[in-house]
Amino acid sequence: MFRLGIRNIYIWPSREGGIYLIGLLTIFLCAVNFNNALIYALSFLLIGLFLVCLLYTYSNIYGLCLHITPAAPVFVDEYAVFTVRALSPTGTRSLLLPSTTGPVHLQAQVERHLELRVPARQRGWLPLGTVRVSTQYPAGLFRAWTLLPGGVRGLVYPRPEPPRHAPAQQLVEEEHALSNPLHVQTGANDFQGFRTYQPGDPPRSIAWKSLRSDTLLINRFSDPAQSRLVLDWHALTGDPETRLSQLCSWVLQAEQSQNSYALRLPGNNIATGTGVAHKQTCLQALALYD
Amino acid sequence: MTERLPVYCLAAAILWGYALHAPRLPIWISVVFVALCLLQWGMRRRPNRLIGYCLLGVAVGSIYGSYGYLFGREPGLALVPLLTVLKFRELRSHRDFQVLVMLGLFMVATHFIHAQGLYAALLTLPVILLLLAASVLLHGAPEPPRVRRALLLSARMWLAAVPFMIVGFVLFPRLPGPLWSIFQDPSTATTGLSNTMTPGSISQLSQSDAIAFRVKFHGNAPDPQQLYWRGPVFWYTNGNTWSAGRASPRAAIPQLRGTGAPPLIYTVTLEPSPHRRLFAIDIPAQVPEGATLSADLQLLTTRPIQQRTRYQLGSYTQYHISGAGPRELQRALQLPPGKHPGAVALARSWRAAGLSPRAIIERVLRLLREEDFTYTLSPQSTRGDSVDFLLFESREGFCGHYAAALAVLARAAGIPARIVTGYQGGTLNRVGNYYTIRQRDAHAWVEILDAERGWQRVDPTRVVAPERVQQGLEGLMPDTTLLGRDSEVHNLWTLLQDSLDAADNGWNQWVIGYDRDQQRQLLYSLGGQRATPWTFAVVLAGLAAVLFLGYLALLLHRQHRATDPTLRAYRRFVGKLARIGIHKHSAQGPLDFARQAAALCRQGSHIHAVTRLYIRIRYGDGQGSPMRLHRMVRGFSPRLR
Repeated sequence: MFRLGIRNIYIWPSREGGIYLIGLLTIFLCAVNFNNALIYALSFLLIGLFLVCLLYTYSNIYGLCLHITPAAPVFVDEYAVFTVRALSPTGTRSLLLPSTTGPVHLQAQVERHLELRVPARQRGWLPLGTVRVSTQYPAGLFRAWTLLPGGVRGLVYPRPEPPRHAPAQQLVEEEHALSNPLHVQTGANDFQGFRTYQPGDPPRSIAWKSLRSDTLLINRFSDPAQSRLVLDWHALTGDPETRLSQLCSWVLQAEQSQNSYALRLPGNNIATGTGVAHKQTCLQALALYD
Repeated sequence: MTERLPVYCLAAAILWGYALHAPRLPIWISVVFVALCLLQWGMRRRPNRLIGYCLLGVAVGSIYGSYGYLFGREPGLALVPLLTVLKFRELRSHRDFQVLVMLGLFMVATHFIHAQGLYAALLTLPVILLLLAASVLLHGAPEPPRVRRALLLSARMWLAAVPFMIVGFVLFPRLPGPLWSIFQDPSTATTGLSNTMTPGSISQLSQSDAIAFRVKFHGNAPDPQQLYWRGPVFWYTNGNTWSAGRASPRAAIPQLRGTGAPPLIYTVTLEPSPHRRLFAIDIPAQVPEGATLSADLQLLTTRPIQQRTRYQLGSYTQYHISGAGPRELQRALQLPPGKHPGAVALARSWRAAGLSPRAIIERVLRLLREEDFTYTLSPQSTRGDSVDFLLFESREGFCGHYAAALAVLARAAGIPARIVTGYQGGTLNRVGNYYTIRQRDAHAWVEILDAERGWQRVDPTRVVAPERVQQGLEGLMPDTTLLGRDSEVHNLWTLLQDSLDAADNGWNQWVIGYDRDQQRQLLYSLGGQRATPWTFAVVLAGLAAVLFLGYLALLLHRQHRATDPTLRAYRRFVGKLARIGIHKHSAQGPLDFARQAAALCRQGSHIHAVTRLYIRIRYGDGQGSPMRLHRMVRGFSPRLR
């Protein structure tokens, strides 16, 4: 938890505050020149209001507790979403965070989760730098801000390139193609019968003839666990980023078609497996390859 | 500007501010201008620059049209509201918004140059609050009902700023004089005594209720009959009009000496006028700062009294003035050749009869008293010679007529005389215990050079209509009030009027008139003679700092109190351990931390007890007492093993 206090709140007049000060100076010069008591009073009132604004702005974010949690992994060109948990003891109005639209209002003692969207431009770790959290409440004359230390990161997977080769499923079927970068080690995908459709099944395995009947059926080939793919870096050509993108795409396809697959990278071999955890291991290896 | 509400609020503030200025602007320009600017802003298109220049031209042209000149204070100030409304067309960004807020405040400031009354000041308050509320609506995003909350917050902020205003107003060292002299405006004619006198001219003033000045006496106030406020002195006559004539540059200021009673001490608050004249009762005992005493004892300032001015004076009502020089004597005996034949003949006949100067004056006064002379505000229009017509035909006139007649008779008899105009009498305000002198109290009388006592006042009106001097002009006016002067209702009405005028006067004295001198007096009375204004600047800064820190403490204390007391106690506990070098990692749970701390501290069991209670209150059945936790933490002073 990062608690905003006297050590980490910075405050300075905003641009509106600068305009205010210029106007105040003009009015004050008017007072001196015309030696007019009421204009004097007005300028002192405005000085007072300026100071009161400072206090209101400061106390608006004083005591605010913020905590940033790491972002879930994303692919390149997506947005990494860091969550800022915010809790204000007496309420905070008009809190401005970078990359959020519009000011945020926090009720007293109610925790809120604010999203911090950072564009992922590069694969690998995306560290979150210091986050500037500011407010111009109540009259905009001051901006009070704090530099919230980031210290968290999110993982960015390579951009999955659209496959230049045929999708994995078809490659599996051409099991003898040696030039194929996806070596099918075992498991002929013999047709084994039908099963009923479940949400999430790939459309290409739908038995389209079953549309005539009431139930939608799926072509069942041999057990996916049996068909093992090897996604091999060395089988690809081109620059490393292109290869990684291609591998990323294949990992996603293989996972989608419920094939088990292995990943071979220079200096990092991941054994055959399937499931979400396996996919994440593979994608992380791709993201962090260097 | 996508948000409409702040803009509406801003528009309301600016329209209100404009309305304050509107009486000083031609009506058509107000209507055309405000309508055009609001219309164009409402169309939400980029403002057309050409139309903008056209409107600017119209604004400048109309100001020129109504003032006749452009480079001066008045037209400059009149342009402020017009330009503000013009700027409203261009409202697009937050920056424009803030500029408009400042222009609105500037409109209030320029309004104060013209109107400084208590009620005028109160009328500007909504402008300030609305401008503030507009800013709050834009930046502070209050919860619905938004406008009401924004106004409430603005009022709270305004209230919090008022102490700063008071401290600054009272203590900030006032700088002397204007920083720069902008183009002088041609003097605007206001009612008041003029620099020449024709016998009927003063009766025009008698219609005016405008206040000339207010006087507060220190000590006992004298009899109103003795209140002769000397103003312009006239030496030269062309037979009808009296004027100052050409004074000898070497005319020496005569020797003044009070006789009998000690001088009256009083403070005058003079309303602005285009003249450079201060008013004093009879003979001033001292000359206020910034004024000079002329040879004929007028108090003159170096610049016109453009603002309400206050000065303290002492005056002798019984006095001796040394005689006049030969040049002065010559001026005091001047008569236009061939005019006033009847009066001159009469005076010469008295002289030929061997009467002494004093006897001649007595003779004139007896004539005025015993013959059938009447005092009236609307005498018959003069036919022929004005003095002869009064003395021998109409036998009715106003104070100016009688003063002129006496002066002419005296001069014709070889007695040096001059006419003095000014004010006589005044109305006591029973609420504020001061006198109000209005334009209708304007008066004219004569001063005669006595061989022994010097210049002495002779008031012919006093002889013709004693009640004018005793009761003031009001006593002579027909009773036009519905209920009569002595009814209860009338008394109440007078009391109400007095109260309102006293409030106004208090405001004038303590707010508007709070100037360098008054500040100095106040500061001396507070801090002794050694204190310079700059020591008070230090006090000012100190007080402002105290106020500021006080507010800060108040606000932060509110935040602090809002934190859960249990959490506060636990934080204090963690802080105490941190002071001896046992730091809690932010990811460390309370139990883990307790184990770590207990291993390093002597008071292991106490640490565990505090932690157990804390966990019980926060995460357990909620049965533990936060007060007990506070007590335990307060009595805890950890020591390393």
